[in-house]
Amino acid sequence: MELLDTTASPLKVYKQAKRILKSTSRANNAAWYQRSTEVPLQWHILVGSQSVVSAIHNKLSGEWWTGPDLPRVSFATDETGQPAGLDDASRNSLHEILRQILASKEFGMKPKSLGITLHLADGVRTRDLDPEFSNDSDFDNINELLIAAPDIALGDDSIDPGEGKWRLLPLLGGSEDDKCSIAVQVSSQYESIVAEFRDYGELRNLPIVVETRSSALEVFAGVPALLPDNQSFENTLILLQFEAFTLLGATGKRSEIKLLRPLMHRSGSLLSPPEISEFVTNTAAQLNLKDPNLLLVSMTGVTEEELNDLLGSYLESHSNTTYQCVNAKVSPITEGIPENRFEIAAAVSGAPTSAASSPIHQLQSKWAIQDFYGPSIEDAKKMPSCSELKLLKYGGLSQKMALVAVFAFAGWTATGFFTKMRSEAWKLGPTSAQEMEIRLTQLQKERREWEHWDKLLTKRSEGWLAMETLLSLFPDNGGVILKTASYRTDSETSNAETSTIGLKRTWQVSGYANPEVAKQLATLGSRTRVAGMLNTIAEENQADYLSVEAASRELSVSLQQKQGSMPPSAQYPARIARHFRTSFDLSVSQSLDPDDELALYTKPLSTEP
Amino acid sequence: MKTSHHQQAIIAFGVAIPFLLIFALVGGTLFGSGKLGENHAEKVANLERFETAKKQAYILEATMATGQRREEIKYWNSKTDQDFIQSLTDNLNGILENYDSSVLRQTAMGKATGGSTISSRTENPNSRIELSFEGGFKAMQLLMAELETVMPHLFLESLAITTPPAAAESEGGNLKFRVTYLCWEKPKA
Repeated sequence: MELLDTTASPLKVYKQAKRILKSTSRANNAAWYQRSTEVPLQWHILVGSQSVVSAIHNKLSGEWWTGPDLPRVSFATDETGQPAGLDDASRNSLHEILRQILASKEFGMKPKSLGITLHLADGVRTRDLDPEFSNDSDFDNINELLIAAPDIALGDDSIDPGEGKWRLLPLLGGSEDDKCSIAVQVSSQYESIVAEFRDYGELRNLPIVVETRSSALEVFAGVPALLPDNQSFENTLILLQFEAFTLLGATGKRSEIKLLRPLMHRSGSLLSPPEISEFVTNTAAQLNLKDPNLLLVSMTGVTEEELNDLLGSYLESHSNTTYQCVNAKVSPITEGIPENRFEIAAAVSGAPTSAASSPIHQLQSKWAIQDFYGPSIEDAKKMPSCSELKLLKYGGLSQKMALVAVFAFAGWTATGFFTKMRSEAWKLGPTSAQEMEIRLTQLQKERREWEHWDKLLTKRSEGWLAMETLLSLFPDNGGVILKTASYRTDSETSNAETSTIGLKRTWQVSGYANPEVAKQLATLGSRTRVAGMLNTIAEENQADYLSVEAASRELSVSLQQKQGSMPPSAQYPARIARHFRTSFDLSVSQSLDPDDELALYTKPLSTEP
Repeated sequence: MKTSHHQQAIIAFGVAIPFLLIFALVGGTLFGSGKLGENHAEKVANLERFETAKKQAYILEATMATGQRREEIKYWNSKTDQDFIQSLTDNLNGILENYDSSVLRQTAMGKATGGSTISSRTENPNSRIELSFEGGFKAMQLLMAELETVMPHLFLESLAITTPPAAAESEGGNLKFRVTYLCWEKPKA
């Protein structure tokens, strides 16, 4: 899969991450990011110079099976005749093997992932780094440099990057003055096969984790597993015997790793005793190791007696040497593994759990299990991690949920909007309320005007009825001559709270009456009689203001009669005047107080709205 | 801890920007909803004002439609809008035309003198006038009835009836009337 560089624009990187999330199961299947030896189902392929061992391992159950044989592969060539990947037949053969492993249930599970570890035991090469880097303890950076530019890291322009893969091996436990690390190289001839395995997984979106390790490094770091727990590695020369070479390792007084180099089996399948004696003697001298301990381990099944014989030449001249010979194939930790290969057992034995473990064993946690065909740290960074893809996934889910919530909210708002739009309130014109209030104000003003004039113009004092009252007081058959008569309306009381004033109507009459009428006239001095008369006049003439029935109305009557003839005049000569012998003065006052319904409102018509 | 370029890109484009947009959308929706609610509340208040005014106007309209009140206002306005003296003179002349001067005649007309306990206590604009007549009681009563009918804004303040001295018995029968009217007027705008 082509991946963007780490310096690509964030938007492109984001789009790439989305594409990976969408097209792969990397966010859901953690196996994509596991080491090949962490995946539940593992296929270990040990490639020696003379044999290939294939083993299937169920990590969960701890069981082992003999794995399928690798087919012979051939390469296609490009126009220039250079190899250009596997040919179709080889590719199909590899795919078929993977398909069968993944389809099979005989390994105790239905595989959802596969870890393939290629243990390269066909050869190894070590080399000192350029002096500029050999004492640098920033191992990660130097390893990156070694991967990207081995010629610079090794200080050798003649290095051909195509001939092998280089990785750093720290010489742990050394002092500051010692050499800190060396470079280790394995063959790159299996890169096409490894790439094909990876492509198979990516094409089918199935985590197939492929790692290519140096078996020599794995075994070197795994040696402590062959020995008792308290075994010391001080001043020890370790000889690890493979099919085509023997790896020579040396440790110092503090168990620090001082040397690691392969010794090729040139004369036969194993180093001869003189060769061993020579290498041990020279290495001890080179490293200034006095009476080093010897540890000879065979990966190929050489018995301990045979191994003792191989040391015979050296032991003859160094009889006090402490040595130990181990046939790794009979070690308990190889039980169950096809062909009892310790190279495979060392890979799955795991990292040391104790921090106080020897520097050799510490290599097992990182440096001895490096993937020689894997990408550099910088290249690995191009692929988003599982947590980043999960972040993207859950971020996307959150976005969708938030969008659903937003759309629901927007829908609810829109529903509310349309409901409001259809409401009567919405349809009402913007000026309708104001127009209606103006209309109301006009009506209120109209009512006030009507009420004002209705109150003010209500009949309270009329001339014709005042005269009619005068006529009604006296009998209509004559017998009375009026001298003067008057009527007057005044106001004497008021109520500031109601803004009304009371009214008082007064009739005053003086004249003469004949004796016959004078007898009846006395009744006019009766308040009750006058009140009855006024009430009758009010009722007959629909003039309520003359009525004295209400509690708010008052009536007072005053009548004075005197005996004495009317003085004769030209109009009334003595023959007439002598009949009118009683003079009288009558005063009738009818009043209503300010609380009466006909009290006069004093406030003018308001012109205010 | 330094974040990777993937993490930065995913946080920026997968979390921050979308959620900013979502928050902006929510904010916009909330703002719009709030504005709409505000607008609607205003319209509801407007409707309530309209309904309240409409209800009151309906009641007032019904009130004003009762008993020809609008016509009454018009009638009263037609009376109070006229110049009082001119109107009084015209009306009196019209009524007196129906009477022979021996029956009833107007003898004087002028602004009323002396205080008025009514005029002084009210803030309603008014004018006072004093009229004098000579004639029969009944004729005078009819004149006043007619005059007070055509001029409903007249308020009788006082009426004095006296008997003038007669030279002969045959000359009797006529009375002197002194009438003071208070006339309500329209407030000046």
